Amino acid sequence: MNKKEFFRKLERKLKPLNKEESKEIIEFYEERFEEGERDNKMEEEIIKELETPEQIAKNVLDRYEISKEVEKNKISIMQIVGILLFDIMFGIGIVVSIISVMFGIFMTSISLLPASFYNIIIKVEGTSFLVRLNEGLIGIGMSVILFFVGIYLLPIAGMIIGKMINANSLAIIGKKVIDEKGRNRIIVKIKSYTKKSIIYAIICVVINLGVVQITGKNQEGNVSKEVVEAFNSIEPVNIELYLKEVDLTLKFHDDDTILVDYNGYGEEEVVIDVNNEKNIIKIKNNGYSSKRGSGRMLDLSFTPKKDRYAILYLPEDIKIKNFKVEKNIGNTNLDFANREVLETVQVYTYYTKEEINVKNLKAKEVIINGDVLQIEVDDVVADEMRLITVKGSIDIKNVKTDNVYSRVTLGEIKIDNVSEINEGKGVMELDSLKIEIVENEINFSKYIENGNKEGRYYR
Amino acid sequence: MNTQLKKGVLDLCILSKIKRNDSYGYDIYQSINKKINISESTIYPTLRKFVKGGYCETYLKESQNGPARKYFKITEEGIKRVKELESEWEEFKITIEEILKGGEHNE
Repeated sequence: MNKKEFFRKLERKLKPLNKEESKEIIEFYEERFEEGERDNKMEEEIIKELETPEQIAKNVLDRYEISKEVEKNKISIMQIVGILLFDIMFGIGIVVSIISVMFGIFMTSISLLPASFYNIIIKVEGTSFLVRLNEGLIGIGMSVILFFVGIYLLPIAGMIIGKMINANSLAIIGKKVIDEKGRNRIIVKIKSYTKKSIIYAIICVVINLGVVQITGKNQEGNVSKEVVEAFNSIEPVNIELYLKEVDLTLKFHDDDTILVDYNGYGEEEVVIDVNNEKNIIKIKNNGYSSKRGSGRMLDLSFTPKKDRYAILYLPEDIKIKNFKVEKNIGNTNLDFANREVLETVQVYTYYTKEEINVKNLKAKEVIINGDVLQIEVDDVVADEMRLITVKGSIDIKNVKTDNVYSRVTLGEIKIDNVSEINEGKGVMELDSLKIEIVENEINFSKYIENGNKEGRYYR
Repeated sequence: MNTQLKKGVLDLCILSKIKRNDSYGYDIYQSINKKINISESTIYPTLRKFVKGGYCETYLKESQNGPARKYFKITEEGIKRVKELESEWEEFKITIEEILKGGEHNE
């Protein structure tokens, strides 16, 4: 031990004294070292002469016990009040914030429970009991975990306050809750209880997840669907699709079949209604979120359904009069394989950030209107076209038309190889090509072959 | 000598040593330690107590070899205190002697 260590130890041992007191004792010993140095003694020799820091501190503290008692009464009430106020103000801040977080967590856990039970009890079309049971159990498991997370926060708050109080004025009160190992008895109890419960809840969730994996696999077989609906009519037919939360891919095939592919979150069964009297084919589902409650928010088995499709049979001699798609979330891909639509093709989407792709189509009028990232029209012949989106791009290529109205509020319009239907007859009313862009650029590359007139656009 | 007894008379010893002539901590310790064996670490808190109690004052005094020393000087208050302690000590001494003598008689 050298001089430095000696003083470090001594200072530490004298901690119970106030700063002034311990500083004075230290000063005495610094002087004491100087005395030794006057006699040309080495640090080690001086230290040997002295008592150990522990012994010194013990004696000094003994000595102070007497003087302390005298000084004790001198601690003013204001001082005590000050320390108490400090503790309380800090404590209240921490307690309030932790309690509000706890409250939030408790409310979440409590609100999860009924939704979970609802999920088990109420029969929803297309879901097996086993799946619902699992979803429900996961919900319950989650709420148990959340509940104990909330409880766990309380002792933390207690610990912080306890520490503060222990360190300051209310040491005596603090000691009663502290056991011989210096731990807070209440906290130790709650901790051990909480640990067990959390482990139990985690095990519940893990087991349930496992079961979901297994039952989920079984379910896949039920998802795909093959329907061949024949349509017999001489009159032209209207095709209408109302689909929610699925990606739609519709393709006309050479063998007079239409493949309608609808994968995604839209869990409800897709209903295909072939009405031979009214000449309407309706394909419809109800979205996933429309029927189910908030219990689905934390549903871990919430995965897109795959391999779901229907096949419609539509003989070639039956003309299509109108074709209409109304969708929300999900991509839309329509490939008409050059099958003609006598009147209008309409695609309306809402709540979507994806793409609409229409190709190989001949129609009188094409209307595509949606808040999508991209509208792509390829190989389309139409008298009139209206292509509208808010943000994103509109891509028009290989199109023959008399009249295009295309509008994007924020994004770009690309035009590639667009020509007029009446080309060759000398009528090229390019005024009819109206492009409206609110922001960003327009790309006119090769936009009209043989053309020498420019499109007009409005900013 | 009994520790408790030592503690009691230590105040008197230290104060009267300072009363005789101004002195510094280590010197006080050494001069007392020659006569009765005391632990150095009890001296310093005691000196501090005297200053706090107004029995002593301190001042720094240059020394020939090494840094200045902190000297202790008795105050009026201190002189009174010494007198008090001295008379207490006398009383104590007499009482003890009486007890001891009485004890002899009783035997």
